[in-house]
Amino acid sequence: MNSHDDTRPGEMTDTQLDQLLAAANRELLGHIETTADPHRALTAIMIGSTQEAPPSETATPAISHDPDRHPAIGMITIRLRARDLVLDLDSTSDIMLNGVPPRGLSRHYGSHHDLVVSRDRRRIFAIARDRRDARDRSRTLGIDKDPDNDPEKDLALDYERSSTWDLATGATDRTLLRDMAQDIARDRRRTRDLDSGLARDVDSVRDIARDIARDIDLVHARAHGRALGRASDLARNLASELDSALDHVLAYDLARDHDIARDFAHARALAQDLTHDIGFVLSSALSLAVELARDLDAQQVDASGADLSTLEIKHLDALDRTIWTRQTTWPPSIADQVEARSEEIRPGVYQIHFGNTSDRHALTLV
Amino acid sequence: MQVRTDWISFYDTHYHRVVRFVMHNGASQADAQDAAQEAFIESWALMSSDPDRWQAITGKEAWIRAVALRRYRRPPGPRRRPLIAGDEIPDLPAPEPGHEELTVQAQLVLQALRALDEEARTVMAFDLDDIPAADIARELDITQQRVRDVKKKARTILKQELAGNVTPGRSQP
Repeated sequence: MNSHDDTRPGEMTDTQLDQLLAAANRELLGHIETTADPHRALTAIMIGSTQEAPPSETATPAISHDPDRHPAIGMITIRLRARDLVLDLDSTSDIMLNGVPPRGLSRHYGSHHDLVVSRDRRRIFAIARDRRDARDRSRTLGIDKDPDNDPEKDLALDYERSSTWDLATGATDRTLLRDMAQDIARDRRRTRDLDSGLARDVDSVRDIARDIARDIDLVHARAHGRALGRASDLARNLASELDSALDHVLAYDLARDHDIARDFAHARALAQDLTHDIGFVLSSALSLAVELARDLDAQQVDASGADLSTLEIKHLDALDRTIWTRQTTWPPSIADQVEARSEEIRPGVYQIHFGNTSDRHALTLV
Repeated sequence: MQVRTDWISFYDTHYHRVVRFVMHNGASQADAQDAAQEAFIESWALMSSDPDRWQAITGKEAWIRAVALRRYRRPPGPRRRPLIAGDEIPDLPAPEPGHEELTVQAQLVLQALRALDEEARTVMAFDLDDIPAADIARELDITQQRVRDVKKKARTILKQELAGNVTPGRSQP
């Protein structure tokens, strides 16, 4: 503010005006800080933003945006969903890292690899014809009449066993090639469906991570707890990692678009590389999810007076260290277990402890 | 992630100050809180949908105040009737200032600001929040010289008003 002196007789000086304005400014701010709740406003801001967000397709709905809903409900719900996320990622990541291709992708590609050893369709044609000739020789040698006594039969039978084609009908070479193409096409369709399944799984897990991140923001706004900021960041990093995983899965389109009859070996190698990459990304996402779950567990949850009776609590350890009172209402199915696992920390105030009991796993699932 | 954290910090720092700014422009506290909340909703939406555009805003402190003021000055409804010069001011509280009541000094300054015309009141409200003249000029779409001229005349009127020379409805020459 200005402090130049421009005074008329009887008027305030600039200095006096500045002092008065500054003092009134501070007092008004103090009054506003005392009477205006910024957290409530911030909650309204967050609610306004989340209500505009596209709907999630996850099975479990996001926590209620009702500003009057007890904050403990939000925190417990987030903890439960974080555990579900860890379990989902754990199973998916394990499959990928152990080299098992997505739903047998490489296996289906590989079943024809021995046949399709060359890009030269004439060579394939020749192989098929030789096998047909071998079958004819076996018949000439009278294998059908005396299958056990003719040594040349073994040669023909061995030749047949080495083939994956059924030559019993004596099909022409063109028919053999047609059959081969049909088999490849069928396996491609099956692989495409399996790829889509994996993509849906990753997409679903990613949506869970995004919902958790949004719900953390909402609880953060209400509680104004800066400690939740890190959990929020973790959740968003997790969603970003899963976006990357989904991109990798969708890259299977490259393998599918190859002319498998000509480039089968390359497609198989690409599938194996992608499998490894997806496994690595999912493993990274799993680490983030575990870290997120731990971070959420570290937050204090006070469920004093909360009505939790409608919550579906699948993982009891999500309630570890939760504070409650006799005014708290638990789901009937777990109320006894909560009582058994609680100690009174203050008169009328209880805290749940799961600790490191050996039977914790049995307690965890309802 | 950092953008979001910075926004929350920005909100923490400026929410109450924006409420005060709108009150300096003639709003009741309730209306000022509504306007401030709407302004921060708008800023949150911008930060979320277009973080680059949000970060490109220079003088965010002035920007959020200007947005809040526009929200407040929308066509008035039952909830948004602004106080104008000449409206009856509630009785002054007992001499002992407390946290529950607005102080005498604060009420007198609010009353004196209402004696200014709209432009002068807004310039002074910005100035009371230590917003630089350049930012004031940009938000009000006037020149910095105009900002200085308006402020000088406004201070002259305030000195007269606060020295006990109350003339309701007086406008700036």
